[in-house]
Amino acid sequence: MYLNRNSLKSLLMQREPMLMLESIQKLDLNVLIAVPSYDDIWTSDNKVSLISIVLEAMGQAAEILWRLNGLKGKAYLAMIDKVEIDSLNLLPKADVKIRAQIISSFGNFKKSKIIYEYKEKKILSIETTHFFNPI
Amino acid sequence: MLNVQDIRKALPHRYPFLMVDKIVEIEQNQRVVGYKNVSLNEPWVSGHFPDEPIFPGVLILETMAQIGGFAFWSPNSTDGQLRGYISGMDKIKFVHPVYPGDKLMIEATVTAKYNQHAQVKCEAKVDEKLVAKSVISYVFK
Repeated sequence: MYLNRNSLKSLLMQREPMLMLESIQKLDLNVLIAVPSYDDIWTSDNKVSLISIVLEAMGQAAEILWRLNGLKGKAYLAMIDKVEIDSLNLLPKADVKIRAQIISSFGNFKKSKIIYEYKEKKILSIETTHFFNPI
Repeated sequence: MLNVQDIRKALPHRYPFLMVDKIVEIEQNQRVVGYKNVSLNEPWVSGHFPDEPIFPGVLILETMAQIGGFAFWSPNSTDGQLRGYISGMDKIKFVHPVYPGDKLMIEATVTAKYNQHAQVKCEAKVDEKLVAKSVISYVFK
């Protein structure tokens, strides 16, 4: 399954300049690959993306994965942990992919692992917990 | 106390990524308290979310990281620049949403410092209520 930016808008509430994904490709039930796309206002001249903006893109990839598995309602990022920064100050804008994977579910809290890859090499990984409010 | 001019001298960040409005207390290498006034007139408002603006959690984290770095600021530093880079983050929890109009108070307490490496524990509050917390590590160059 492949979704472009316009299709993503039907799944995410975020809009420009806070919509930070260009496309996604769902590999199987529990895994997707997303291509990020950052508005120019969030990126510096040397083509390095700021880590907090990268975290937002990673969180959106995880949210999409849960929505593609049927979750509805408003989603809130509740927790980020197990942050592993392998390559300090290397957060390029191009040749980047985000790999998101479902880890577990506890009530309305949904846990995911997300890896930020540059040319297939992991440079940052996190675990997120989203709270889905079904109302 | 540091005002916006002092903050601009100390930090390399600029609009729209300068997230510190005032530093109100510094105990060097121990703790710092500062704040950001969250406004409706900021670039994220139109996209997060169009019908209900909520200050993005990752920008709360950015605010904590920028203010936390001031725990290591010294008025005697030669160039006045804080060149701290985030080397790690952990135990990040977003407890309550933050809205335009809120005054986001950050208190950061130094938990470790060794050579160029340091770690702070941060709490973010609005009207005395905890909205987020984290542990942030820096390397200073």
